[in-house]
Amino acid sequence: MGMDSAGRDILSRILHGGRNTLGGALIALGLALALGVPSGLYAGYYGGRFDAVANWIVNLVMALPAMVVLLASRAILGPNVWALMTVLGVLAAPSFFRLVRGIVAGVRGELYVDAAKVSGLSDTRIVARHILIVVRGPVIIQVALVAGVAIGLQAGLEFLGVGSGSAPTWGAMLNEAFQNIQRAPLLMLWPGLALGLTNGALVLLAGALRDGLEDRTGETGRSRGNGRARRGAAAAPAVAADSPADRVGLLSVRGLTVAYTQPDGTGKEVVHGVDIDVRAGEIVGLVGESGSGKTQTAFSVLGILPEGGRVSGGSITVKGQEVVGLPERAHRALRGTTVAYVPQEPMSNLDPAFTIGSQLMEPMRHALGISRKEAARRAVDLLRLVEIPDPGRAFGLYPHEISGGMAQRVLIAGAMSCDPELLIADEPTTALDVRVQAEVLDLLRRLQKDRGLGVLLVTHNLGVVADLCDRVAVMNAAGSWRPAPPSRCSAPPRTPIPGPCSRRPRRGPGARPLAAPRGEEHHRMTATEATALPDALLSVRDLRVSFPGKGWRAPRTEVLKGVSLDIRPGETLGLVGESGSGKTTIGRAVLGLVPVRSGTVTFAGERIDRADAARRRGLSRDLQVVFQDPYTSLNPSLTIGDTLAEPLLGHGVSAREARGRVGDLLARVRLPSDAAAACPASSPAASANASPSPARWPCGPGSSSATSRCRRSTSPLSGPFSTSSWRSSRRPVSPTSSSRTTCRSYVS
Amino acid sequence: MAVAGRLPVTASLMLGVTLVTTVVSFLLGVWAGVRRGAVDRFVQILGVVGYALPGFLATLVIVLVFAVELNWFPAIGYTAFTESPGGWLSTVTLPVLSLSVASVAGVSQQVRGAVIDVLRQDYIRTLRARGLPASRIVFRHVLRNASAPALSVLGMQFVGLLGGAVIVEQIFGLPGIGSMTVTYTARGDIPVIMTLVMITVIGVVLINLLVDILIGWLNPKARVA
Repeated sequence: MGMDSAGRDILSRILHGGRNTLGGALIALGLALALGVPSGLYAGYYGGRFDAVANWIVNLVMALPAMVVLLASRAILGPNVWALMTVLGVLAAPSFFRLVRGIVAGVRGELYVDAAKVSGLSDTRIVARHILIVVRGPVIIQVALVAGVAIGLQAGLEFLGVGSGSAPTWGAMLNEAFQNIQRAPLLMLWPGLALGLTNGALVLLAGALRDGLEDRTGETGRSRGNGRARRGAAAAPAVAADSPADRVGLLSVRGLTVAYTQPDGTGKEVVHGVDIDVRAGEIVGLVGESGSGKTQTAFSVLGILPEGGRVSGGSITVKGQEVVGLPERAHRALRGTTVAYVPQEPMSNLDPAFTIGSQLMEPMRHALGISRKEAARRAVDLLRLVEIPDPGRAFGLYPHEISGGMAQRVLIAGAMSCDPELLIADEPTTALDVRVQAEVLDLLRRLQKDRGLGVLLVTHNLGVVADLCDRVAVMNAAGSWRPAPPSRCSAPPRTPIPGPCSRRPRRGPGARPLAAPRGEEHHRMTATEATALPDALLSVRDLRVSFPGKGWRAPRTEVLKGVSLDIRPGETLGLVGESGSGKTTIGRAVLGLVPVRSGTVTFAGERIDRADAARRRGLSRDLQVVFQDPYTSLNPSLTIGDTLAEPLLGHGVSAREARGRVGDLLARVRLPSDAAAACPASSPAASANASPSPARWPCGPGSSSATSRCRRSTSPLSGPFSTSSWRSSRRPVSPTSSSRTTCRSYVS
Repeated sequence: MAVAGRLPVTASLMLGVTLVTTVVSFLLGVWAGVRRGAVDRFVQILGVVGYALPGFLATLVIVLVFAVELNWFPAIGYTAFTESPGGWLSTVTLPVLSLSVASVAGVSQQVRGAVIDVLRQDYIRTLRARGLPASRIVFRHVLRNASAPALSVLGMQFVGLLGGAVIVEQIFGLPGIGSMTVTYTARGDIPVIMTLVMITVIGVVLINLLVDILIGWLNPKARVA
């Protein structure tokens, strides 16, 4: 490489200088990790005062420009490279703290951490198994990035000539080269290359690690250039066998198959040949288990399949026009004006950055070409049409300012805005409260009648089907379409499907209302007996739970104001109420996931409301839970097998035996045994919900289990269930497990 | 004190870099996030290169190419805007360019990530289902929702920019706050250094306040939190 201006060999100086530069960076990195990661874990997991103080300090440190502070430290501490790197370590610690704290605080609120707690794992084990695994990847990436920054800063200091002084470092060599930039510009090349390549290697390493970790969590194939393939790759209509006369309806689907491109380039079929017909003025239910491709079918009709998905065969006609293979522009012209879509999840389907009014006006102005004023007038009319109180006010609100039920009405209004003829509603009530569900369904029915709409109602709720649909198409779990027995599925309009599924909730003979909470007012639920029933398995008396208010010294929010209930062995108790009325909180208080303010919880004769962590771990064998949201109840970075085995291992079962039991458990919820190796992201919602439930079985059948089934017990009947009062019965209200089973077997 | 005379130099650098970074990063980031494919790979490589190159190294290369070899801009010195706007532009162009390399690399990656995230949201699919054209969805809905996270990164980068300014001012011989810090460090004048640290911290806090206000305007949900 030649000699420098003083005739010294450049190569040997680079090799020697690297030691100083990299060694310094290593010290800074080590210190930053040692300070940042543990404090971030603690602050994120426990929160509280430590979190507040640590955050305050971190914000302070982050406002300090590292280079300026290093220069200041140099002025105070003298030209000692190790001391400066220690300062740099302190300055870099916040980046780890914030990263770790953010992830942990997010994960802390996840149901799978609650699930781990309920299954009796200690905090240390939860942190080690569930939290470190989530933090690990980002921290490794951050290490590479911070190392790069540390090397750059260290070299920068040396370059400024304020570093260690005489020792040869890459920065000092660059400084020398800069002095001679006019005479020998090439002197800069070698130390510059050394620095650039080192940092480049670190960044590439970080990138590779990130990609590797992302692949592990089952998110492959969503990146890398399959965006182009999205359009235009649709197959030509393959089925044309039907005579045109058969396909005069509004919507006609024949032999539809949908496939997703896998990372290895092959296609995975998710819909295998579906036939559907919807005529104007009729409501057709598309039922099937989750994972059977109902939603994919709906997206295919609209031409909005996600990236990588495509119609791989079959034919879809809308008003006689073939839409498979239709250019995007022509397909778009149909959307909104001919075919409209009501999505499943109301809140996530409104753009949070725009007011409701502006979101309603936008498609109208675009599709109908009307003026701003006209569009605003129509938008208010639409809000009135979907029975939103005070439409003028709702017009100016942002999505986060309205309730879920209202958001769903807004979405229905949006779907109706350009006078469509066919409405595709994808489980429009699943995310809503029972009471609101009925109202939204009534609204849909009224709109359909008034406007003669054809409606394709995607649902897994047979109550809704029985109530609303003229005809039903059934898809089974494998995704293939199977015509249901005509006696049932082509039932005349409004005839409920026979069988237990359509049964309305009835009060059992022993049922009596305990209280009727509405809105904010929570009345005391007066149980008949003042003391626990002698034979009750779970007995809750006068339970009160409150949460700290938001903000400094804000008053506590009372969530439960004296709730009492009893469950006897073998009994199923339905707990019904509006959202926000505290149903879930009752369950969480019984499980010890939220602190009980006052009142008693008695389980099998034992007071458990003040049970300590050790006792809770013991109780976890007898007291288990199935959470509401299947996805967030499973740790996305663990395989399903690992999640299931975790409580067993925590209770001291050997790894080998745990594996065997996991296999049994999967079989009991009718999941294939290879599901154990899958990550939750790749499993459909129903199997996700099926898998955490057996967490209560590992401890052997016969152990009594009080499972919180708030959500599950009410969901199968939903629609008609419009009363809002709390009910308790000595007998299962109606959706007993037997009726659920019947529903399921009917569908599959 | 000499600080008042030096503040406008550093301030004009920061202003220039912020403008260049915002415009270039949003263009690149949206382009990469929406189109993916080759453009995306180009932006990602740019991100790696921009990040891997320590700030002063990039500066040295820029000086070598544009000032020493091509002689398009002066390698050294500063002309106040009030004296001669043209002279001001020619003296700040290279420093701004040097500082922008790293921040464009960082922020464009963030914009790209945010755009990809927003494109995956349910409401984007619903907007498509309403028949809106892709361009309108991208420029109205995606851009607005993606800009909040991207801007917060810009605010965070500002601290690093001030550090970079120290070196860049030194290289280009600009009489700003940064080169003043280096001078007084060499002299070991601690009170002056403390004052300078104070001033830069106030600058950082003010900028982040501005960014937060901007984010609140872009994202109505952040206003309540």
